[in-house]
Amino acid sequence: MLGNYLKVAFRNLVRFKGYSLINITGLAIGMAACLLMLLWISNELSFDKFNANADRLFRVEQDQKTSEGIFHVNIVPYPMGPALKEEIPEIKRMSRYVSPGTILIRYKDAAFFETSARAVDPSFLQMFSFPLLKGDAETVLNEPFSVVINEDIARKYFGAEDPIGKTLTINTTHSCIVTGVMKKVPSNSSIRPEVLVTIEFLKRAGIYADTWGSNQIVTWIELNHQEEAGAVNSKITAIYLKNLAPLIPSPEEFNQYLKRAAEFKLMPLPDLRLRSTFGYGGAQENYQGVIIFSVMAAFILLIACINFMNLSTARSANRAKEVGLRKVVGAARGNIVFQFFSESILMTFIALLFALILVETFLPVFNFLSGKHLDPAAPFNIKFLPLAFAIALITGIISGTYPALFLSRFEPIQTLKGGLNRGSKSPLFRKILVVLQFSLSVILIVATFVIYQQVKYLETIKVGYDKDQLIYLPLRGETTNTYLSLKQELLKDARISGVSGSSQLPTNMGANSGGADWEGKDPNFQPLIGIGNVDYDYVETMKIELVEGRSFSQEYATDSSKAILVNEGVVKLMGVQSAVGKTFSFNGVNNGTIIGVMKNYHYQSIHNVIEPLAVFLVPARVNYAIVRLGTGGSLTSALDQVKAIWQKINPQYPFEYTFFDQDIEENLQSDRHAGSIFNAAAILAMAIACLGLFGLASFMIEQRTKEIGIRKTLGASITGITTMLSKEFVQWVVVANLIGWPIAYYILNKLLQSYAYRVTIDWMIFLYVGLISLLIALLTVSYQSVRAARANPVDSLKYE
Amino acid sequence: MIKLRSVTKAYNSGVDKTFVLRNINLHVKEGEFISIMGPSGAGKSTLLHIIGMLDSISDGEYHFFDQPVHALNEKKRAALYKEYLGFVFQSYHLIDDLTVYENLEMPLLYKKYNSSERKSLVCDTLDRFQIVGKKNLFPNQLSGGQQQLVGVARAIISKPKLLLADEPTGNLHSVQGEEIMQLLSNLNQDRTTIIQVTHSEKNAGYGTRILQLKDGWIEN
Repeated sequence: MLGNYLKVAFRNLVRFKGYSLINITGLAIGMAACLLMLLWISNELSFDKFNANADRLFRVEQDQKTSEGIFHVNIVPYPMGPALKEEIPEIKRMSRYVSPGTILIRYKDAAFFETSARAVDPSFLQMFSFPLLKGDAETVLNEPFSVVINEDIARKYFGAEDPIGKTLTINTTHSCIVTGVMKKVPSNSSIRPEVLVTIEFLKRAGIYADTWGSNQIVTWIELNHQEEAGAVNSKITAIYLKNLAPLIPSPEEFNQYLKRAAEFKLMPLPDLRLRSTFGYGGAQENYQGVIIFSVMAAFILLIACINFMNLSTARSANRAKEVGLRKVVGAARGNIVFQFFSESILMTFIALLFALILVETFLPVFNFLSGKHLDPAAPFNIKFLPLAFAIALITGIISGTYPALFLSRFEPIQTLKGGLNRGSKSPLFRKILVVLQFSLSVILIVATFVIYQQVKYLETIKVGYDKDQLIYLPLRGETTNTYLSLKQELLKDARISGVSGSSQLPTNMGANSGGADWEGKDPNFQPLIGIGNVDYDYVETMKIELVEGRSFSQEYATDSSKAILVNEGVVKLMGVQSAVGKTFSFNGVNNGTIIGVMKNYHYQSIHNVIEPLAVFLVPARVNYAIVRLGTGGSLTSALDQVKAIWQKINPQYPFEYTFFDQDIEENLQSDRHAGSIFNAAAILAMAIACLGLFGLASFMIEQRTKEIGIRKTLGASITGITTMLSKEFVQWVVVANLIGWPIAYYILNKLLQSYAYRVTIDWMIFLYVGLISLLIALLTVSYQSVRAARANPVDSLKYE
Repeated sequence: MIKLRSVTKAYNSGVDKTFVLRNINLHVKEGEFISIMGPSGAGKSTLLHIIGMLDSISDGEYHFFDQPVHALNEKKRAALYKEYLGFVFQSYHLIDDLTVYENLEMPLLYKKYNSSERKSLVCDTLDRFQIVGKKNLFPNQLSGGQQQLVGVARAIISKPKLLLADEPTGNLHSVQGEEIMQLLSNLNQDRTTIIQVTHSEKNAGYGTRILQLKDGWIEN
């Protein structure tokens, strides 16, 4: 039976080649787009789940209660991890996880900066599934000066040599022995160490803050049983408070603190990629991405399914006789329904074949657009292929349902008499389908425009300082000690117009803290304020505008201990007209004085709102030198000069620099990716919809051939007939726009909420999209209608 | 075999009812060969469709082998239909995408014959109608007469008790038409009951009884 159905389906497919081509192409493109997005989604969902213990691994996080609401933090004090392991029996293992910064590793002549080194506790490799090629996970990290490297790093330093037992020099002073070689971390791991050193090593190197007073380190714990997480949460909070108490001298203050004490919460490892947040209700960007991609995949697939339904039912007249006949020789309605389902499923499986070819072909393009690194083998993965089959099956069923029910309804006497009513107007349901299809396309096109505008807008945001010809040099390892001499040397050169420094990455400063106090502050008001630690000349080098007061100056001896610069955000918090001269205590400076107010500037990514910021003068803690290259002379000669001076002062360390521009640019990358993905999706959706429209138009016009012939013999002009034929399609597209616009507006408004600085949606966009969709639709049907209108009526009437 | 009692068929056309068949009483015994005749629009095809259970009646009773067809639900009627009826059409109505062999096989598929039964039945039939050489051709590769031959073969392949033919020779020229009529006559002699609609006196002559239909009434 099925064989007979498939035979008929296949012969039909071959006989109506044009129709089959349109149908299969539409389905294949739709499925290919859908599969690519599913690949992306399944990659996102697979993050970290390869860890054998994933269910039992948790990151210790906390909700801090502040005046502005709950501030979520995913780091804890350094000593917390060991204390938890010691006191909570439910915890099986514990490992802290922190970057020691970029370190310089040397072996004989090979010396490189390594950015992906992490310091961990000895249990780390037993908790996480990062298999060792050499060495024993139980013991490799037991000694303080042991180091584990991955296979790539091993090759880089040792070539074919066996690294085990060899000594690596870290930051020119510390000798560490290689005890293990890890396999490369899988691409779907959020935790991506390439070099592992021990926390003990950090301690010996002096990069360890043995205090319960500040949150600084990521801490992972492994529970004996997943279900114990709830009980462990409150135990952690209790242990934290017990250890914090001695740091707050007066009992009243401690009681005051208890009211807004942090509450600790365990975050399961499988949630790390999609569900982790930071700050005040921070956005779960990856999770949003998964949602957006799922919706887009569904949209495109739906558009392709609608094509199929429309074309199948439009062709119903051709199949009606067959249906009637099959019923006459004994087919029940169920048989017919089953037949058309098997037909649509055959169609989708043929399309799936092409879709997989398309996926393979366009995977590199997709990777480029989305910034992912999906493996070319991924579509044929044993887990993914069944999903692809399921998608094809579902597509077949969705797109087959309406034709099957529609066609199986035909009564034999009507169809066999040849009197099936071939109305010139399309049935309502088919109209709804086309409108729906175009509405979805309209939404995607509007999205493309809005995201494009948003990215353009982000590009034009003024950072609040002069970002041109401004670079920073990271001071790695011992080079921090050479900052002052570096500054002196650099300033001697005429091509360099300013030098300053900061302790944090200059394009991402302002880690925040509570505990600020100033004259006239309400004691219950506990805002979080960002902290910047900088050198003299910071304001001048960056060219930040001062609203009032002055910047740090060596002429005032007290500046190094008491002077504080704030941004306008702080002044707003204080609720004063003029902040200069006000007493301010914060960040270890007691009774300091505000000496100047800076205009708000972007000290972090332009995605972030400019929060209140207080800047302190700490020349001794500079980790980044900020250098402004002068306008005289070429940029390259100035850069060469900086390099020469660097090499003279720090011969051991390679010269590294970054333009401020580059960092700002990099922050826009993800937005650009989102933009290009939407762009591609919109083009695809529109293309599939037009393909369907083209097919539909040709069938509808075919059905009206006789009418057109009669009209022409009665004197209708070609223009008149073309207009008549196009009118219906124009109506559809107009309705589709009217439906799509508000939905697009609503969705995009939501989407833009995740940007601190965003465009308002321009109503002109809707008009443009309306015109574009109308134009494309008209072009699509005009070929058919002009051809029909120009045909000689004698030909069309002869057949009847 | 067939008892029609006071059968009426009417359509609503605006306010009025249009009667196609009025008060038809008809008894058909097994083995009869009945020809329905009458001018265009007399209701011949409608009567045939009603007997063939493709159309329902507005009023009256229809008993088929003592089963009240007018009172049966869709499913039971379909079962009855599948078991006892075969249809032949004026314009053959073969499926264009299937070969002669596959067209013949199709009714057997719906009647759940297994594959070896199907094969032997189709081969027997091809043999009996002397179209073995054409079994792999598609309908559009055959002449009208040959197509109708396949049409008749398909109608009787599952051995129906009643064969209904709607102007089976209407599209054929006389020689081909005579062949088909001879074939029907032979089938009737093998005890297949036949009811045909025809315009031709000559064709009606092959039957055992003629029904004259005019404006929905049987004239006697």
